[in-house]
Amino acid sequence: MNCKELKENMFAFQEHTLSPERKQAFLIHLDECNECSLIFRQFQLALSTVDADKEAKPSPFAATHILQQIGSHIETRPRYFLMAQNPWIIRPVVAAVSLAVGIFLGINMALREPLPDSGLDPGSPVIQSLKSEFFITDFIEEDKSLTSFQ
Amino acid sequence: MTDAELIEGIKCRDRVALEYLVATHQQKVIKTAYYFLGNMEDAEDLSQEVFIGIIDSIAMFRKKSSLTTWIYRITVNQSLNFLKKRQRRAVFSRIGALFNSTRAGYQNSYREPFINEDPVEASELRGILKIAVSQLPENQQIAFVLSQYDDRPYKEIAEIMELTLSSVESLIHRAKMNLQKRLISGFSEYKKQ
Repeated sequence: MNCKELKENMFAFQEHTLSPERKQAFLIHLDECNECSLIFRQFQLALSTVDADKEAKPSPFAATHILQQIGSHIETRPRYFLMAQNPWIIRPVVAAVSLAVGIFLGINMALREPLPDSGLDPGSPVIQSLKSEFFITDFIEEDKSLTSFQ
Repeated sequence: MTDAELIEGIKCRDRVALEYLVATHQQKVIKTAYYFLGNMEDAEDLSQEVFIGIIDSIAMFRKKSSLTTWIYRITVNQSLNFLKKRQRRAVFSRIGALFNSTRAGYQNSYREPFINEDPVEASELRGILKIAVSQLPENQQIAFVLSQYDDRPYKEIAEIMELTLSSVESLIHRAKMNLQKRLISGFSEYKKQ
């Protein structure tokens, strides 16, 4: 085994996945090469710190801090936020309502103030029937009646 | 309390359910975050955001995996986001330090450096290992940390990462190959100091 091979097999040696022959060759090269010996020692020491990290313990107050944070988060969020907890129910309803409102307003706007060159006569039977169908009142006429009443 | 009861309780923001959630998962969440961040204080701060994230997005949980796996996934994602933010801050601090001709700003904002803070060799090597792990491609980093630090079985890592078992095995193998190279170059830098 040469230096390059040893450096590529450090994890395999450490995890005992090398064949007995390769393991033997690894050990022989370690004995012969000071540089690889130092590198492998540092490698082992670095990996041993993983076990030390596993022993690290969170603060005993961590759970209390988390619960406090959750408490203040819930208090600051408005209750209607709960509606968003079920987006697959809310989303289609909101989409349908938006569509209906859009259609209603679109027709309303189109019929209330026809464009000057549109050729539509506001008093024509077609327009009147559409108005009655969509419950559109003629505000201009209402305004006139109010003025005359005063 | 079963997972289904717990999920319903979290949706209703029931206090008992929330306390149970924190009691049963806080250790795992904090330690997983710690393995990614390398700092317990940051891990504890991040765990608060993780639990708030769990509560806010519980309705998105489709029960395709277990609740624990889903919580792990959120923890890993938030830890990686935290690391990215920290790296961005470090870049800005370095730029600031260049203009100020001082390293004070950098040292205050970013705790990369076990290397310069602790004279003990093990601590310095830990720093080199942490940096090498953090420089791995994201998928390799997640798989390696969950496997080596968190001792998660490959099957569970596959569920957390939504990958096949063989992909996880391959990721961990590549992570180890990459780490060997990075560690050796880290050790040679360390010798020069």
